[in-house]
Amino acid sequence: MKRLWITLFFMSVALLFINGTSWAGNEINVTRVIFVDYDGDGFDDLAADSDDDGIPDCIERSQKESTIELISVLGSTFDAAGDNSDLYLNNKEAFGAKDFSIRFMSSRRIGLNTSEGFGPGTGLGVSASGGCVGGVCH
Amino acid sequence: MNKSNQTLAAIIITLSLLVFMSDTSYAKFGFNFGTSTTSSDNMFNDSNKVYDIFSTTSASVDIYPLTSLKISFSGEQTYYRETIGLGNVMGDLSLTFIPTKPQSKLSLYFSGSINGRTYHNEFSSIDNNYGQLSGVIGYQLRPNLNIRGGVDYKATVYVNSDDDYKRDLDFFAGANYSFLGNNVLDMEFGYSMTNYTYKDRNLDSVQHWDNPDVYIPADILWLFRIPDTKENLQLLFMSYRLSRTIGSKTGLNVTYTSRIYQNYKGGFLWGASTGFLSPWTAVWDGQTVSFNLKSYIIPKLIIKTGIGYWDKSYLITSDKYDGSDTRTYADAKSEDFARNDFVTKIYFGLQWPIAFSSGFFMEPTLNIEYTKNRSNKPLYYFDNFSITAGVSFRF
Repeated sequence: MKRLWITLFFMSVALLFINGTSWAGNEINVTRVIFVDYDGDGFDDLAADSDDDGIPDCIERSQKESTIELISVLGSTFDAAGDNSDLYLNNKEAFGAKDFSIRFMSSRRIGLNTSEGFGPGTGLGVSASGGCVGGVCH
Repeated sequence: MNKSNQTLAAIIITLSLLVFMSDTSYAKFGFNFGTSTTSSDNMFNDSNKVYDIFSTTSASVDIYPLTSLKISFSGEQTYYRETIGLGNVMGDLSLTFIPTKPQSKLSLYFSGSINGRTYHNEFSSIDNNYGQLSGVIGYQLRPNLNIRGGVDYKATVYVNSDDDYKRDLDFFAGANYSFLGNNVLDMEFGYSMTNYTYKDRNLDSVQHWDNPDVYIPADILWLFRIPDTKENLQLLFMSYRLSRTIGSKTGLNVTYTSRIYQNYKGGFLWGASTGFLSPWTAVWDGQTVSFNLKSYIIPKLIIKTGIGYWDKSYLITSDKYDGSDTRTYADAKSEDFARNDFVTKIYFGLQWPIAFSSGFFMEPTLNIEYTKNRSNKPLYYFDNFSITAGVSFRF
């Protein structure tokens, strides 16, 4: 089992660096369509969701117009805001922008007090699929 | 920390933050409310198959005294129609601090919370308070590659029990990498420690409790005569998740997770409660594979479904507890053995998010879940089918 762990770990590191070479030299300020998925739902987490209802705008539009849009990293609302937090109407919105930017850090799924990310994840009720009951995460 | 101290700490921290840090002209509040009802044909997840219907109502208020700080107060009440004693009330105060700017490649995230949960008298032995602290650092190496690492500490006290604080310490590191279009690989590795008290069943002999000069062969003794051993249980975690879109409206992921005990030698633990609520339910060694799918194929609705398989080996624990502090006795070499389960879970969920232009948001949900648990212990050979309907509001 240990050998499997070590093999998988090194294969992962190798994969990151081998595939990463195709991105070498790219500057962060180059506009590029990049797909990112931090929560593992299979959808682009940088896709705009202006009404914050969990359905990306491009999906909602496509249901009306049958068009699909991908949002580039720098094309998102938050990048356009620059460093100036005065652009936000209030602390809640400014905090929301920061919270948005750290999703790749907060989508943790292993540990003694995490619920593995399996299940509907609606935050409602006591879920049999990986919920936390009475302070115990199953 | 007892309940009065916890309440006092909550008030002091909150008032201090509000008075000294808040710029009220910019502060804004957020409110969340949710209620749900679940029908479960196996409330305790064991072969007794106790049916129950329970309702959970929760509310929270978020305060933003600074652009980098959120303070949340939340409360939750759960009511059980049949097992009334399991009804409980929970209160929580949490702080989230994000000092870095949204555009920064380097990101920092800190959070802390205190939480108390109180049950009815019948189950008051599992009343618990906990405090939790987390710190996470992340860095964007490339637009398609983010790395993260952090630490999490949680201390839980069962307020009506003589047991020690339960202390969990987790370290983790991970990477999220997009490649070949819309494929994303997320990896996470973790190392965890939790303190525990156990009976070492590998002892050859035990010093007599009345006469220190006499040693008795351990295998003829009741377990309660074996002295307690206190140690930190260590686990390693590893998880790989591959996700991608299929078409324009459906996304999926396949996740593999492995957890391995590092120093568990078969010691015997007393559980604190039923298996359902025992703190040791969360501690197991084994592997998981799951497949999850999310779709927007029906306009206005979010559909989620998935199937998962778990191969679990638990600590050797007696979870029987009759509430009178008379726990099951077993001898050192008795038939008590590790519980090994093979679990299959399937779920199907529907969400209907409705956003109003005023900022008000509501979301009715319906979840159906089925669990098939096969175990080498007859008590844990069970099935569970449950349906949950609920609605949440945010404004």
